[in-house]
Amino acid sequence: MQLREFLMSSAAVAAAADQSKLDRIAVMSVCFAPLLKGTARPGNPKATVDLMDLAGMVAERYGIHRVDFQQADFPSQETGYLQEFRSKLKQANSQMNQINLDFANLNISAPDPVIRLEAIELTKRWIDYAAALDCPRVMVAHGGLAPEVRPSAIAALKTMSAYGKAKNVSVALDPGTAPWEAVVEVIKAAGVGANPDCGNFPDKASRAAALPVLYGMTAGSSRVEHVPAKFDTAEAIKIANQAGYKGVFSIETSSRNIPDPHVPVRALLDIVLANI
Amino acid sequence: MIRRREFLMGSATALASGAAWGKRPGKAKLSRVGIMSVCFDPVLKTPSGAPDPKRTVEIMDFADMIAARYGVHRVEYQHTDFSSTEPAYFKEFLRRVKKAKSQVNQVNLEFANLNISAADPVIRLENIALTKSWIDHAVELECPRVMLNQGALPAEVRPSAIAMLQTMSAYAKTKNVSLTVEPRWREDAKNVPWDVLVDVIKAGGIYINPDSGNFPDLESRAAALPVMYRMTAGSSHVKDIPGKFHAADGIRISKEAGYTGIYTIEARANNGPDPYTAVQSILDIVLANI
Repeated sequence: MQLREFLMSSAAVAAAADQSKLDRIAVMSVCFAPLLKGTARPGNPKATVDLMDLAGMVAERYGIHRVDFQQADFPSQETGYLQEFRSKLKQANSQMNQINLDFANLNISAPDPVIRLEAIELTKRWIDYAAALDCPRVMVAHGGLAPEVRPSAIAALKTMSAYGKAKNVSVALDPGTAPWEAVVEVIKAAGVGANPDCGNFPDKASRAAALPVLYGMTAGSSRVEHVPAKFDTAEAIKIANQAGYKGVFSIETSSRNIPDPHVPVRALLDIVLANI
Repeated sequence: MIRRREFLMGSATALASGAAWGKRPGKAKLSRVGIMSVCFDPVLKTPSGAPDPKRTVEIMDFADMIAARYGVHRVEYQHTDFSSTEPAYFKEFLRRVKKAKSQVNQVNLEFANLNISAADPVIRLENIALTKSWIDHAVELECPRVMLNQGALPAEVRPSAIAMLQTMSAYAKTKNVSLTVEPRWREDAKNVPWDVLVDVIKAGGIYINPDSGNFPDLESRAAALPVMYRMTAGSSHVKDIPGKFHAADGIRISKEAGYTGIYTIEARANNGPDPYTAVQSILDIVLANI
């Protein structure tokens, strides 16, 4: 083998290795909130990227082919719009990794059974949209999971999960602001998946205790954040690796007061690539 | 299920009102009458009703009770009446309605904080998605109409409200379900003028559910009802609020407008403490006037 061929081959191997890592990475749409056009963020002059083009932009710029969206990102839910969206994703050789649902006033912790039913109804609708978009997961907001509402929250989640299974869409829950033990209890009882998020813990002790458990019960995706003053992202990824996690790490950065949202995304991507 | 004693009492009431089985002169008239579940709110067991020993009627038995007691075979529900939205639940619900030889006339939607007047586009989309789900449920219940709550319709949201109605209506048409809204009026609320509501309904491509009780005064009622009774999807609400207006006058206006659809009775607390009697009193007025 000549030196030139050897060097080219090594570069290809290196690129392939990176690609296999990149295949385990997603980026959340919220990272690029200031750049996105759309009804959820009207009138922002920096908003130049159409939501439908986000996957293409992420693929081209980062080589990442998975994107997480918020339900509030979508300016329409009509069949024609979703079909066009799916076709744009395919053009970018990308996949929608997860849709995060956060309905106004509606969640599984509502004490009012009518509100819980409305949360179930809307979630089912979004499971249908996820299926239409070839998206394998939706994440639901749990609303706090206070002890007195936990049984009804579990029942609501079971209903959502059963519907999701019929459509090959997983339902996931992240710790959010609830005690992580409560979230684990609800996830187990309802038969849904966890969406671990290393940023959502009050302290290092709870993070270190919860992440191994949560990474053992995912629906195939998780979130990574980078808040150096609070925790070490590399350490969190190490915990995921030790738990045998083989799923997706979805990058979540804050775009608030940041002149260029790409900078924090690139910084966190480098950390993830160096540690998975 | 309705108990024998309740059935006999109901039949006796019907007899007294001249509408007993066998000699009901108004079978054709009765087929144009519906009764709303809200009339029986104090006695119905629903997920939205606080636990109360007075609540003795299961929502699934409501159609049966109405058919047995009043000979009325059209029933109208609030979406908050249903304790589940699973297909098996609706299948059983429909079986019970059919067992009473009845039909669900309309499902009325009152989503918490979600209506077409929302300024936030995300909320508007949630409203559309939820309404589509209930249009699907109406199909499961073989119900031909779904009524929406339009909110206050301030001028600045009217264009987006109309766009939403058009989206919902397009979906409903593919399912053979008609979308309606009713005029609304409360002294303590911001109310859209009836003529503005009519414009929004026309532009949205939906229908009106006239409600004789929902006007601030006799003048607006007299002006609005003839227009509204020509824009229905085949159903309307009839109230009787003694001292404010006569249900008979509303029915007369509807007939003059050539209306041949359904009058759905909406009795409230101001019609008396006993919902059974309150409904009977309005039924008597309807049967005497249609």
